Amino acid sequence: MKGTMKKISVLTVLLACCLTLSGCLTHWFVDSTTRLQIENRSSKTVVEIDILSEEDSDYKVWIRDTIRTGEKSRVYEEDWVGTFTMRVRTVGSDFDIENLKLDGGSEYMVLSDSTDGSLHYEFK
Amino acid sequence: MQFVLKSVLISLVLVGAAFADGIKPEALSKDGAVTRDRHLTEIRDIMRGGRGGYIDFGFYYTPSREQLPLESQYGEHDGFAFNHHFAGFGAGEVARGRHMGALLWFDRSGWDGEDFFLFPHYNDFSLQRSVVTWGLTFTDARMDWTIAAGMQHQNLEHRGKIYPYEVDSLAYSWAHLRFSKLSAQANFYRTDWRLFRFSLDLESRAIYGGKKSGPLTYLPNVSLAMYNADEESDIDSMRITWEQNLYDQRLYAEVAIDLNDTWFHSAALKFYPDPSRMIGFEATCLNRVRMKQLSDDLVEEESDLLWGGAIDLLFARFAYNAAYDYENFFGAKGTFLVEFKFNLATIDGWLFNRGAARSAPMETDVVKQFDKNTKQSEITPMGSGSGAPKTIEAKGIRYEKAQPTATTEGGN
Repeated sequence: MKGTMKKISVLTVLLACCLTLSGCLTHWFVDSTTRLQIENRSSKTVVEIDILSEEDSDYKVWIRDTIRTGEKSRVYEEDWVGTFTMRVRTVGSDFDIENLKLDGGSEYMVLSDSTDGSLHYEFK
Repeated sequence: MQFVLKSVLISLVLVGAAFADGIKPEALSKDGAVTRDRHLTEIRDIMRGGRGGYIDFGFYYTPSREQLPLESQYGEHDGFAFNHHFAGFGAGEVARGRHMGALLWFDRSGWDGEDFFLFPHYNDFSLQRSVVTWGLTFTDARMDWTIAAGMQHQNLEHRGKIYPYEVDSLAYSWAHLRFSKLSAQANFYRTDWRLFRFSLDLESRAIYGGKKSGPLTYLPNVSLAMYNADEESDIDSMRITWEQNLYDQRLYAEVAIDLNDTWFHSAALKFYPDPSRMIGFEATCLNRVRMKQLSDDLVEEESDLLWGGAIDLLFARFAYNAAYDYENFFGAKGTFLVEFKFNLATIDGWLFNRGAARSAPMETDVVKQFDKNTKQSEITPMGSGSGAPKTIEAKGIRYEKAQPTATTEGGN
């Protein structure tokens, strides 16, 4: 009886180790999606947020919404976690943000006018 | 000293994680074929005996989600490449020297945004695929031949948006035929062939009744594999693998050659402190060939050598840029990999790891020897011996005088 209990407990510990080591845990404290919200403090009207592909003509739309000066977008959740190139399309011109690192979770992005006429972004 | 060792190890791990290269969607999408081929190679190794049993299980452990990111056309996605596998084979003796058995190999692999054991996240960029190979075997140990056949099922669980189209459920048939040291394998999709492999395992292996040492153990194991990836019946690629015992079935060299323009595919030097292959060390070199699309109709072939190594400690395998992981784990490189695993094969009660030539030294071996020595001095059992009367000799009977009780009952 004692021997069986010992065997079972050893097996349980082994199984627990396997489960723990193979993860199932990191997404308890790390987000695997990004929830993006944009606040437009620039003088331009934002119409779309895209993630660009290496092939320049290809892209995936993240936010398709008109965000006027002083407005906030709704929250859009997508699977973009990692390092990407983001394109902010405004009325009249496009702005690319290269090597944008997204760690997942809630991201509040504030767009404002830059001194050189382009857009400035900041995460808050 | 310990502090220095620890800091070196930690910094190596950090460096490994920092310089990790992303894995490509193309590597993930062609992994089904790679896994099916590996299953059949492993089955070939186990069918060298065709009897006894085998178990195997394991999974890669990549703690950081930046360790093996997915490198798609959109950028670098943080996440986890995974591979969970198990395999089992068991055969029983149905008549004298005739063994029937069944085998099952299972792999679930791919890439996901989360790490998991059973339930993945299934995001826009993940891919999960499972491959099951099963079959029935028959071995005639006296004539030394084996026949095995079965099916392979390749099922796509989930395919993200960036991968090329793939049929989600494919069934292949396979067969394996061995006569002594020669074996042949075939793999079919409907009526189209996918793989033919001819193996000549000339090395003398004590575990299958061969020599323990001597010149016969230095004979090579050669195999020729022919692959056909599409509907047409021509050969798309051919690979020759040469495994050579260099010293005492503990040191081996393994070279793989592709019969095309590139020729050299990979080379490995493997050292097993014990010929049962429970523990192994290896240094590998792989010729990485990549096609670079310069323009619509101009493709340039680039190649470089990837040097790496691995340490296999029975329950865990530690590898850095090893050829095996590059080929079987979606071209993973530039990072330290840990695989928790275990595999054990048995024949006639002897234990060894897949591919080994000799069994592990075991305690039972010593006990058996001891039993043999002691049996002769034991009392002859009833009915044995040609009617000899059973005698028991009493030795060392002593008569003891009863002790006076008063002295033991206490009191002064």
